[in-house]
Amino acid sequence: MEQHVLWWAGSLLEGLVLWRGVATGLFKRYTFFYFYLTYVLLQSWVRLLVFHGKPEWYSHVYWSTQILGGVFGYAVVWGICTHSLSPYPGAARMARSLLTAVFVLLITRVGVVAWGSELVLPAAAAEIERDVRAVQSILLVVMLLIYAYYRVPLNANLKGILLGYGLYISVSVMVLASRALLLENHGFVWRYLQPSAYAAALCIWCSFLWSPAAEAIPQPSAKAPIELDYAALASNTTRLFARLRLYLARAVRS
Amino acid sequence: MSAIAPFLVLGLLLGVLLAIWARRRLELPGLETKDVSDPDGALEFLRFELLPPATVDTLFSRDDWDFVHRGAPGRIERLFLHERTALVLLWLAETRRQMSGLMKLHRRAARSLKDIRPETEARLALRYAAFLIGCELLRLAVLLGGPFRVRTAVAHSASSARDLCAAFGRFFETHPHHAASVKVLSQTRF
Repeated sequence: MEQHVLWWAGSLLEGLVLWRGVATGLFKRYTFFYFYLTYVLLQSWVRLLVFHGKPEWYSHVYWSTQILGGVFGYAVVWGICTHSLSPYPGAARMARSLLTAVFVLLITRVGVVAWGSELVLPAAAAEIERDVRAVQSILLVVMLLIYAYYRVPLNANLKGILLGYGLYISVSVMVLASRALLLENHGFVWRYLQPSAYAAALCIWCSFLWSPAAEAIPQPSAKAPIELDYAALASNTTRLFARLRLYLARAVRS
Repeated sequence: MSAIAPFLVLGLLLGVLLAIWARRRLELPGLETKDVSDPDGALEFLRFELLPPATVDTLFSRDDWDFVHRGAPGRIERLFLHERTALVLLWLAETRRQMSGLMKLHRRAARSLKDIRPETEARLALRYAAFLIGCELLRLAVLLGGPFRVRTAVAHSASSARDLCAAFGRFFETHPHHAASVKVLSQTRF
């Protein structure tokens, strides 16, 4: 019964967010996110149809669509990153380099582990989804650190997308990692925690994406263009901090 | 259990970071303007108020301590030590605050530059972290050993901070549009 309530509530909220996205024009601005949401909505209806029509296929359909959703989640992470950092070429370049390095490294590792795994469905699928979500959570952590380091402001819409998706990923990683433990001792938690986190994310999206927010990201003024020589800036700061560190190291030893 | 621990830690870390980030962004939207609202002022304050050798020498001079130690009663000695420690800690905190403000200028300039080098930025971030840790260790050393035992160390720190300020000053002189653009950005409310 509770699962049905969660399912219907989730579908209604997804529909509401999508409808507001189309009505307010946010769909065009954040296509990466609304594409993901459309996929999730369609996926849940397909699952429902399979559940009632071909119950024996359900497990395979569930896990394959779940993994595909995880892969589409990368588009959300990448979209947030490129959209929020577009006015800051320097921070964007830094983020792209870091995210690409982390992504390639982790996805290679996940691929190698999955290739050698002897698990069968659904355990193997749960493990793959857990790894996919874990990679996304590392990417989100890197992004948050870059936002904090370069003090990148986000408008309310992007904040909402990031908060909701981050919350869902954070809970998913923990739930999927402790799947075996939860299924054995706390089946209730396993059944409801991840859908509840997704419902909470939908509430956040509903609230933050109800209307378009003004782009809070300031463009550098045309009257004061930044035409700095990065090499000079970096080498000055680097050299002086190196000296500072040396002095402080001596200080600690003395 | 050990296999799932890294995932639990990762999930928790992301949750905590999100909570901190959301709280900061939602409750303090104007935070950015306060930190670097006056880059020139920060530079002047460091160069002429906090870091001149005379100021540092006076602050950490053993002469005052020797004088108090020779003739004053124990209570006065303790009071002197307590107040001088508080003064040194205040000086250290203010120096660190102003230096951090100048580092923020670098980050605000760098984030908008197209030719940024990720490896240089990463190295710089690590050095900045080392500087902050060094300051914290120095603060601990002052707290544990008193202000007069770390005199040489503080003199080194002050000297390096002076160099850093001079470099920032030279940089602003050779790139006046940089200071101007930082000011324009710092006056923008988000």
